[in-house]
Amino acid sequence: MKRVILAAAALGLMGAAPAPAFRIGVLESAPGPCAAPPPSAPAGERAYFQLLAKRLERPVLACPVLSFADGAAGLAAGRLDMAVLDPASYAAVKPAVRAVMTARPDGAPTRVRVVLVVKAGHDGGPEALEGRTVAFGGSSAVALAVPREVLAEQGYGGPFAGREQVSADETAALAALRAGTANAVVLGDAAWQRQCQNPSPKVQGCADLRVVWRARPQAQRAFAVRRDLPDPLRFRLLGVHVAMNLEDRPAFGWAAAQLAPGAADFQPAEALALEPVRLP
Amino acid sequence: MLFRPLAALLPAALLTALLGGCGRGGGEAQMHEVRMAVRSQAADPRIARRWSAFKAVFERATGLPVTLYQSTDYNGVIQAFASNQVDVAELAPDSYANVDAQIGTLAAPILAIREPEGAMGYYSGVVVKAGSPYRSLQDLRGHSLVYPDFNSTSGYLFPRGKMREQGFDPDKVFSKTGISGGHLQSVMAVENGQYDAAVVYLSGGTPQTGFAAGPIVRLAQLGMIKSGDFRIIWTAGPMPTTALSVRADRPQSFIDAVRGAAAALPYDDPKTWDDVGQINGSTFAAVDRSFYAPIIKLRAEDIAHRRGQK
Repeated sequence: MKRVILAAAALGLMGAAPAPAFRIGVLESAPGPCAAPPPSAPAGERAYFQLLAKRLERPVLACPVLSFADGAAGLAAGRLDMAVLDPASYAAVKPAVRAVMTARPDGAPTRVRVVLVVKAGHDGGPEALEGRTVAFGGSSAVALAVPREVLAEQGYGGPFAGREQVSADETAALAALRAGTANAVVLGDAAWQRQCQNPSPKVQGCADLRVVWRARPQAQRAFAVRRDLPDPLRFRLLGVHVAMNLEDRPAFGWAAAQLAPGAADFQPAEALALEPVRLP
Repeated sequence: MLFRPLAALLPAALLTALLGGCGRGGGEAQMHEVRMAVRSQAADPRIARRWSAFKAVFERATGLPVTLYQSTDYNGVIQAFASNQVDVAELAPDSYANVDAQIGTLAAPILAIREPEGAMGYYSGVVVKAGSPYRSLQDLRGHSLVYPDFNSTSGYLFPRGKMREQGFDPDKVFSKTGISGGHLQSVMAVENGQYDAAVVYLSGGTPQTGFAAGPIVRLAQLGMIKSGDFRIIWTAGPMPTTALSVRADRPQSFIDAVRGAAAALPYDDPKTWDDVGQINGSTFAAVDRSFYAPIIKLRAEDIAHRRGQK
């Protein structure tokens, strides 16, 4: 019942006391108090704070932070409700803070899921694949650049980097693995699904192969919030941001530039997006 | 009970129709529940799981009870949404175009599936038995073709428009056409020899990569056919994907919460996302009416064709 009341209040669907201000860390060169952006602030910044105030139905304030680490400390201490973090600043406050959204660069894929595959019964760890051949299922961003990035984040770069074999497509990459000309394959998860989902109730697809892990690319910057931010408010926040590129271009342009240059839209992010985790 | 039949809403729909012109039917009033119209597919239990997952996440996002009303065809969802009997619906592109023609900006498409490779579209395909002699649309001249539903985008509207562009008038080149009631039923109609070919949806890939999803894949997984017994001889696309839509006359806070909760699902709970039949690694992306402009235009052209105006 308590959760229902909290959610209804967060939605503004019942009469409630005025909501407390939502405080967002903004990188500045000097400290200062939280306040609405002044008339001298960039038009996009003013548009962003006005849009959020209207849609979240509460004051939304810009709070100067001197660095990502300063923003992380502000979140952990409860002085901020949202701030941009990078992996290093997030690591220091991980128990109290979660990622909530990233920006997708124009023309780039989303943070797609990648799978590392070896033959069944084989070891797929970094040491086992050190110096061995890893096949990629094509040369598109989703087939090559993203898997390559995830491989490095998952510990297969540097001293463990293997030889790359860029196959013509996902079918050829898996054929190379089966033929022994590659020791592992890294694919987008959808390619794995196309190739290896069960073809019938009695037949397991790709039973001769084994998925070692699934992972998304680690976010290099993300909007982060405190873990105790109620889900209904997090969802509203996301709902406003994911459509901002369509609904308010000046606001989107300013906010997205805090995360990545030339962004196309905001994407939700999993709580651990700022670290190189593997998916369940 | 997860679903209620849409027929349960009919008396209220009739009242709304009788009171048409007396306002917007109370959509802006305080919301006490969320009513959602969905299209059921009895042969695919993943669809029930999908709506069960959305029901749970929308209840968490809004704090309101969510009631699912199911229809066995596209038209039931279209009419429930257009007549203001539900707040949220998953509308296939042609269904959205239909609703748009009825209520205009009162229908707001808010999210559509973005495929893992980045495309925001899916495909139509004409499928035949692998042992048949048909290799192209040309080979199907004088033979029979089955569509899933008049209101299906991938199974009716879009492929018919593309066939016309390629010089095949779908109302003249086939010896017989029919409506099966659904994509799975269309494939079964070919399997059983009732038709020579079927038009179906294909997703989770491209004609170059092959497809991870579609009625042939699904029926094979259910053990009802062997996928190798069928061949895709023609594809058209990509076309805009299905829209999670809300009534625009609901509170903005409600719309934002629904959009955010649905968009977060593939990141918050990827296992559930996969388990409900979405393509691995796909996500939601925000859309608006402009995304569906080609389908709105195509629908108007198809209606004109059927009325003999073009």
